[in-house]
Amino acid sequence: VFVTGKGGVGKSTVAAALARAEADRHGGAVLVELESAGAASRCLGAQSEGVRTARVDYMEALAGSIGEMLSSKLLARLIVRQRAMQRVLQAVPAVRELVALDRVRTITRAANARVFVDLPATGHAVDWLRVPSAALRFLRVGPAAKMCRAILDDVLAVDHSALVVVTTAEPVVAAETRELCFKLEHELGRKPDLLVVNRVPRRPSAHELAQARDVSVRDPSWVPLARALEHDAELVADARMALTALGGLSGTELVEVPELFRDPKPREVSVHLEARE
Amino acid sequence: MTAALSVIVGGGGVGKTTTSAALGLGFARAGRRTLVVTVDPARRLADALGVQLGIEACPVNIDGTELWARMPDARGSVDLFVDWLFEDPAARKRVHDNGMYRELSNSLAGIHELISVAFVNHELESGKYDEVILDTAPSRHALEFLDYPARLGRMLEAKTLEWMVSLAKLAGATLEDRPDERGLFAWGKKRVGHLISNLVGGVAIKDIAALFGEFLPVRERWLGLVTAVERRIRADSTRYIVVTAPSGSAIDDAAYLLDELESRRLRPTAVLLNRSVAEPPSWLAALSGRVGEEPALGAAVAAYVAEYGARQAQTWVAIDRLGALSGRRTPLVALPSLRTTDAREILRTLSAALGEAAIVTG
Repeated sequence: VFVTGKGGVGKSTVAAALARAEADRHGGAVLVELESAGAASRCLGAQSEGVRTARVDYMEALAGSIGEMLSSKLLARLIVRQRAMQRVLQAVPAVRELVALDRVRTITRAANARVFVDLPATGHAVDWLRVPSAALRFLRVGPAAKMCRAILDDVLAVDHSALVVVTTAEPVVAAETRELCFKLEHELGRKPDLLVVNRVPRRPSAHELAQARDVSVRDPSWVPLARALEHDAELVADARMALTALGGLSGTELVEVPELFRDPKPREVSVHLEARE
Repeated sequence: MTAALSVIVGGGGVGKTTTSAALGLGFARAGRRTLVVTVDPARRLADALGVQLGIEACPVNIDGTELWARMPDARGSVDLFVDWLFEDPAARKRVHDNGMYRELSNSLAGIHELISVAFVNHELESGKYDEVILDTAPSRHALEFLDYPARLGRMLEAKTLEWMVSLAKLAGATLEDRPDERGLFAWGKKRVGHLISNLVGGVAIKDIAALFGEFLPVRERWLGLVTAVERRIRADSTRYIVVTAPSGSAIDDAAYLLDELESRRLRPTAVLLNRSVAEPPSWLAALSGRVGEEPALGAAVAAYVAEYGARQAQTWVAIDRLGALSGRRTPLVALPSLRTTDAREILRTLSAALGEAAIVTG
């Protein structure tokens, strides 16, 4: 299960919550972090029971991938240790994405539980997932091409993986999420399997809004409250419209997680996700 | 006279781009010719300014003040950059036709950072601006931008590059003997060459060899750029501004960035705490005592009291943590949280707050 979305929307929290919910139901889950420096595993905090966490170390993953291609760990280590080789490999970012995804593949193969991957933020996530097919078009044959094909077949194939997109109700973020979904569809041929709308503010009722407007006319000191309520109502309505349209178009399920105004615990988020499979 | 550079860094979703635009507006109001460049592939800068932006710098007028903004797009800027680097039209065409370039140049996650290095330097030296603000991509990528010049400079050092080219050539033509190279080193090179050829395949290795080969003649041009950017990163006039927000993960990101700046011996100019709530708004304090008059609005008032209380608490935790992090040496500026979606209103308020804190003029 790949979890992605715009930076700062709570991707890591949602990834941790999904892993938490999975472990609660099926006894175990694996949480993999690619670039987030332990953010997702930190989100788990005290609620980490049954969830294994893995961080992808670049050099180790590189040696692993080359080792598998050559069927020799020793040779792989020798190549990776070459200084000139290191410089070249560090400066070519596609190598980084490939070996990280290959590592996700070996983790998935070894694990007998569902694997949740906390992907980098929006623009980069599409780049990440696009690398294997782009590299395959360029490489065509040989062990490196075989690795790309294995990643595509075992990790990215539609029937082997799910894509969770996290967003918030803020207009700018919702607009970017729409763009991300279009990119995913056009460049990768994928639709998100689940759309999580995080930090949804309390939605004022129509009655409240009418009441606040009425009172404001009589007494101006209530005007700021009416304005705040109108703003919140509009925000939630707009976001819901934009995202429901998006969900409706692609047949994606939409889950809302309410705003708590603090860092939520995984179970506080997972209760909202639990109803979905 | 070259322009001063301000690098805006911060984790995702903290309002980096909006803050960059507000800072730009502040500079422009103070009479400086200002350009805001965003590296973030997202369209936030255009949204923050409430305009359409292109890969070329274009003027934006806000309340009668003019500033410039540009938003390089992925594919377009890679091609523009290649066109700049390769002056020879034939070489340019060969690079554009190269299989590796065609398939992979657009897939590289670090490509925006790399290109921004070239573009920003070009703008700084153009003489058209007094201030250039660089809005970076979230967290780690911002630091990649600082490392890229040196990293690529090392890669293009004569030895590494020649090694790579000869290696790729060897691998691409495995049956050809090279009588001019003997000894253990050549033998080792050949072994590794064979290995790499076996790994990535013959067709691909020829493309790789060709692409690396193209870089040899333009190495000096590239290294000149790298050196200029390195100097710029370390210049006294360059400011590093860390943007954060009152949430655990945003502060973690800020801590990480402050650490990374320090490890590069770069001093942050300021830490900006966006979306902070110093105290609940006065209207709410006044109304919370009067819910008896309007029972139907009691729930709404209570919800806002709870919200502002929680956000105020978050703000204080954030200020404490940031104070401890930067050892109180770096000025911390709290920017207010705004309950509006009006881009211009947000810009005006934030730029006024930055101006008061003397970040703009100081």
